[in-house]
Amino acid sequence: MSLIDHIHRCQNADMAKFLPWLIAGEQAGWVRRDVAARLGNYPTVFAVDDKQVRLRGHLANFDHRSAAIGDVARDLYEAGVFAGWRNEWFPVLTRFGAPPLMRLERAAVPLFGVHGYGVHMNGFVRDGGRLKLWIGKRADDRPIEPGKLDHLVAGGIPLGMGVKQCLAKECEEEASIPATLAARAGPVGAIRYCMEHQGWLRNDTMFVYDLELPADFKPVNNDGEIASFRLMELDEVAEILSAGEDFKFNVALVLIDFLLRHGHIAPDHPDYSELALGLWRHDWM
Amino acid sequence: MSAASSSLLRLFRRSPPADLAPYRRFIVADRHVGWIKPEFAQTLAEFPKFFYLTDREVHLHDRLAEIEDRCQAVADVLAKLHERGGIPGWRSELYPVNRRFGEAPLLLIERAATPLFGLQTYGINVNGLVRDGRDWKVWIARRAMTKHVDPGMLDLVVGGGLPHGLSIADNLLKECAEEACIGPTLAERAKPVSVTTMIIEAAEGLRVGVQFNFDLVLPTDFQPRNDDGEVAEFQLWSLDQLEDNLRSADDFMFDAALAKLDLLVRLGRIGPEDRDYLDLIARLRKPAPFVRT
Repeated sequence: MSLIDHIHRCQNADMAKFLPWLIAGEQAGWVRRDVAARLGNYPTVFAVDDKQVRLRGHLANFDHRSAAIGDVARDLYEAGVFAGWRNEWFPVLTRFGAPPLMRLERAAVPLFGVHGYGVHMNGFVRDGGRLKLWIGKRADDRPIEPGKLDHLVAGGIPLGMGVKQCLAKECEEEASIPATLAARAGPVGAIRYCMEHQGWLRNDTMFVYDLELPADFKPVNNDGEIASFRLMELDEVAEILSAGEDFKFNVALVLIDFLLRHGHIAPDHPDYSELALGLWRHDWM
Repeated sequence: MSAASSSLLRLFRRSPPADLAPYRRFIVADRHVGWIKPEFAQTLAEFPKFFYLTDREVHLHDRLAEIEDRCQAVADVLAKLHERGGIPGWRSELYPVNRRFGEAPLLLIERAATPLFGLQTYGINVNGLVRDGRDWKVWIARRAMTKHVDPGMLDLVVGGGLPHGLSIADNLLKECAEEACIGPTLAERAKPVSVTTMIIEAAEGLRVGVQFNFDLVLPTDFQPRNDDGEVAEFQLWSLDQLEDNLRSADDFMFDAALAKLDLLVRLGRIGPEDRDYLDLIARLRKPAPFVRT
């Protein structure tokens, strides 16, 4: 495995397997063709043909859409089409910052191929001229990628929460980073990928932050999502990335971005520009 | 800041995404490597031994199987066009033709001809940074009025195209020395940080660029000085000044403006609260739309 394989792995979605899902003429997601056929069983909610899935026009506002699709999602969940109901609302957006078209149960986000937004924060420590990264190990009971390596703080942005607010909350829950320290985290860019993962579409934008931590800071997990933390040399991070899939799939992208921005991967790397440009999926939304 | 409400996307409106429909794709050794304007395609049609045209494409003749043959053929044609005055800004520098940096070139071609064929070129950009408390200041250069491309416009402290046969590291040292009198000990501290891309229409054709960006932290008492006559003056700007300028003026040459926007994103001066944040990042990192052949 080489670094570029992580990019290919996360940018593997073949949109031909999915139909566009439209709300009021705007694309709100992508639906797998077999799921589209099932959605055809709810003709008062969806109009399905072989080109697209449209939400019926009478569902004309946030509340009506959320209620109608919420019922369908519950039905499909109970029928075993997808698993892991979370009781968390995610917004359905056509553009980040725009008013949400509706809200959707988090576990149904991949079902409808809705674009998810998240925050990811690298926590690093300066040791002389070198940087070290705090790396977490995900708890064994996590629904996604249990036991895999993770960075210090990450989380999806739920309905009604801003990027900074979400970051502060995750900093507290995931690593016990106090608000005054978390406020020093700086935005450094964003990554967009579109991946078929266990048959479902993960269509994600990650807002990336770096936070320089004091040498004596020790992260402590508060929400049971991370089993342990370790401070790692960048060489070790790069070696683990090159060796295989020990890191959670999208965390690998955030770490490649970190290694690029901090000069740890140089232009003489044979895949340098493919790595840098591969961190953004261009073909939709 | 008065201009803070003005969207940074304006930088891209200045050079809108090129409409490639009128261009013919340039094919070398069965690979799509560039885009040619209709007028220049007709000029190339005068050399049927070397070039043939289809509806949508211009092919360098498949008969030219070896790179040496292709280089010779193209050099002969360009020499004739140059005599007629058809290639402004002749540089006598060879650029590699390929689809990704470091890949074995399919052809080597005079630098001044790269926009005529719409070929992807590579370059380095160096942001010269100076610590200012917890913040940064940034060295800006004004290009000499004698430059062929974008005379008098604002630029990075050091930047340059990557000719064939020179490594990025060597080119960085060379340009640092020539453009800003930055010695090798200091220049070697430059840190690679990002890649930005551009595709813009120019008078002579299409400029397709991949830029390798570096940050170089300079000592507070360092004063850049130009040795090769390519820079008229250097100025040390605050990041406020830089952001304000990018939001309100068209003073920077395009690839330098992209490198500066990328710098503001990486330093966190522009964040997710900017409504165009994601669009800006997408525009900085768009690969050239080569057709997969």
